[in-house]
Amino acid sequence: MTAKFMRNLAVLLALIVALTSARLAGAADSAKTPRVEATLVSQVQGVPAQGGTVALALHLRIAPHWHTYWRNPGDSGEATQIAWTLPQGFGAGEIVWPHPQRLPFGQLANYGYSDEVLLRVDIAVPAGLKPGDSVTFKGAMSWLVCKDICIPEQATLDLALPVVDGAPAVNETWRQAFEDAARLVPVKSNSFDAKFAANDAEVTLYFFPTLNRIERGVGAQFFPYEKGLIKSSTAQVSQPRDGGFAFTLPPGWKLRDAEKRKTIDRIEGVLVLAPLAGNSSQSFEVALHRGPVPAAPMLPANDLPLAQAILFAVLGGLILNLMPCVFPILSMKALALVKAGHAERPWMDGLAYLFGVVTTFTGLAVALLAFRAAGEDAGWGFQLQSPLVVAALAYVLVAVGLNLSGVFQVAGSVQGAGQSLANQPGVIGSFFTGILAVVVAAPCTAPFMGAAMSFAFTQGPVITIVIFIALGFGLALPWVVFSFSPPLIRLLPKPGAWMERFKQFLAFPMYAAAAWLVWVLSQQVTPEGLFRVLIGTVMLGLGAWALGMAQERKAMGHSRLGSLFLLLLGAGASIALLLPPFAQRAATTGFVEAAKEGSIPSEPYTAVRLAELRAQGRPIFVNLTAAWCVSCLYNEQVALSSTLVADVFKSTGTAYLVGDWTNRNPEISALLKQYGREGVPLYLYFPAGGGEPQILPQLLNQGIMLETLGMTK
Amino acid sequence: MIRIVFALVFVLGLSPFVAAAPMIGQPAPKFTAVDSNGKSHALADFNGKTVILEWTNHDCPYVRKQYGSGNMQKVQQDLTAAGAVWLSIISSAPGKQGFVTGAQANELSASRGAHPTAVLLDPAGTIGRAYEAQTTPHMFVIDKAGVLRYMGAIDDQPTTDASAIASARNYVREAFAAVSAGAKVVEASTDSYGCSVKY
Repeated sequence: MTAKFMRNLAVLLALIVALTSARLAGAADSAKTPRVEATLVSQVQGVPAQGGTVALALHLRIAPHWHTYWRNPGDSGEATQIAWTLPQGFGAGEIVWPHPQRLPFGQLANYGYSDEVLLRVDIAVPAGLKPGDSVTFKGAMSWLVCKDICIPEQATLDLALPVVDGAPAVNETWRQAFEDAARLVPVKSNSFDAKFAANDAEVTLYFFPTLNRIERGVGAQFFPYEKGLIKSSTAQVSQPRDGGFAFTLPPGWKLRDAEKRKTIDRIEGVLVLAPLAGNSSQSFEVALHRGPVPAAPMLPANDLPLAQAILFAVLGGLILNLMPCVFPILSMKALALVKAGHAERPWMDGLAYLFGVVTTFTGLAVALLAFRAAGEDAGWGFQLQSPLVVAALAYVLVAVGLNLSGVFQVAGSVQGAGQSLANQPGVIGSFFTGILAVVVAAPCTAPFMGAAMSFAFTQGPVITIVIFIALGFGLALPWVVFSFSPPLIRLLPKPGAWMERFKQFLAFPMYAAAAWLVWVLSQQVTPEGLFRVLIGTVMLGLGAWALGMAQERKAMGHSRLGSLFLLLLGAGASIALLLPPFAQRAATTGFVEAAKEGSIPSEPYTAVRLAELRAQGRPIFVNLTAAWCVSCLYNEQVALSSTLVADVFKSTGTAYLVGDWTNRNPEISALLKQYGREGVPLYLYFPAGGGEPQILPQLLNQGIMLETLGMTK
Repeated sequence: MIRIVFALVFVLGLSPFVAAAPMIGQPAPKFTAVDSNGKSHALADFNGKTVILEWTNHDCPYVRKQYGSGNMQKVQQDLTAAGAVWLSIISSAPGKQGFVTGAQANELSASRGAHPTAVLLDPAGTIGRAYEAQTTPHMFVIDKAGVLRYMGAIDDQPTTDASAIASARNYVREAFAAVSAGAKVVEASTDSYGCSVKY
């Protein structure tokens, strides 16, 4: 009896304590949906009787993968809203918005918050309240919460606070949340003298730091308050410009409308700078005025005289011959010359090969220009970022290999795609070998090529094509010279039965190249897509075998219906398997992960991470690479895999950032562009203390690495 | 050779789209699409008529506000009666919210009493990308000469609250009236609002 009474008393007391303390803390009214938990909270535990301000806030805890929106929601969505019902004499201010995150969604982008956000509202309190009274603040909250779908949600929340004499005590429960949110609220200051210029093709936002700030803007982001001024989905990559930095972005619909554009002479928004060492990000409220914006600096590569760029291109093309990519083709070419060498006019083949190479380079240049005109980031090797092209190339190499293995013959027809040369030294065969040489050369980048290519793309379409033709000329040159020189041709061995065996042997480099392309593909597509391509390759083999059978039966005068059926089946199925679009692998997995297993610990490259590390003053080595880039893989094997280099990384405290360009990545494209490159590899070394980076050669060795990292003098 | 084929496909295929972003006062991006009944329509087929494009996704709350209140159907009815061609376009990708088959699209039109001239199925998002359609709804008005005269929101009430429709300023009605009268569209581009298009 007594025990029961005591227990009841204890429960009652606990309840009273809980109720009073909750009341003192400003009992937060909250609402919960499966996606959002919304709570109305107060920064202080009471309302000052003498009047003043009380900070309330709507706190949203957001489920993983869902987000709510900033005051400008971006391409879609809706900002969170609060409609207050307040006692007489009280007045609510506007929501004080923490700066948002950019939330890309397919080809659109939103500005908003994930995980949690605290939206503060300052409430003006009138003077002359009676201590001991209670004041109830009531707000109808509405927010849109989206993942891949959107759900509008509402809740009416209220919060009662006691009127107190003097300054009310701080609400410790929510103190941290208020402080965290305050750090994300943009500072109103004149830290930047900002200007913008716009036409219907681009908007340039220029920020010049004042107050003796030094700000390069690496990793900075600008969020306009108004919709439709800039294209939200374009990644913002700042460029240093005239003491400050600038973004050049496609305009939104408002600035594309000539009439509207005239009326806009001010763009307001929030500039978020990448976090400095140990700090959170800094953000500033900035108003940009229409005005002259300094021109983009000329890239160093632009200074290259045209003649020198052409020379570099020819040299780059020449050196491509020494790269592993082109080797199997050169062997085939050698074989062709053995035959052609004893023909009447071997130089005809040399010219046909040259023509094939140059035509393909021209086609590639035109395709690149078309892509760029369409606003894509495309550089050397861009076609290998498309899984469809990689899969198609693997097919071509397997088909060439099967032909060399003798599975089927090519009667010099167009489908021969180059491999007819071993059987018949035709001019058409040589032309297609030229095409094949360029196709397989794409994964290799040779020294001198980078400078020539970056020059090409800053100079307008005609010069771009001229540079590409020069590259082709360089690639074809050794064999053209050879074919024009009878004394050299006489050095070749005599044709004979060995040629058939050598031809069959050459199939293996082709299969190896195909295997490598399938490996590249495995970094780009899901296992399901990879399986489709592997089965497609088997079907291709079936088709090739059937074709060979049909050829044999024709030669013997038998019916070819059955084999032709199989040929159609195999070829049809292999093509059909490529037609549905490939699902891309998640961008963060794959190649960079693989690189991580190497001896030097690395992290993926992002502009923000680079800025952080630079702010910390650490030396940084940046490696921009791709699975399909043979030169990159070579460098990683030769110069970046030894324990010696790894030790030096460790002892110098050098950070290692790896940017994987196997699939498209606008951030990496932007960094390449910033240093005047059109493709990978690019190696940058940022010395300790935050100086300008050193651009390393495209072919690395251990010595270069050790010298760069400062261990040997 | 594959590369040449690709290069040609890119060059020939992309060149008409290089101009890209839709602009007020410029010819509207051309398109051809199949409607919910399997019939093919090209924008050029409607030369001489004012064409209204409506991006839609029947499960989007902002679209439900318009159809649930009967407002969108009313605008469709009034403007098509006045001679406009109204094309509702669904750019949701298969498996994403709002994706429907032709039969389902017809059923939606019937059950909601909608009055579009046609419902165009754009599961690959080709037309959506050409117009840079961002939201459902997202509206475009193209005049008799094929020039883009309006793009943006259906009205000036960016909310899912249906009670806002009564006091809303309907930009599409305004634009249609101006285009029909040969007058200038006062608000030629506005902030579209709604759910993102589920490409």
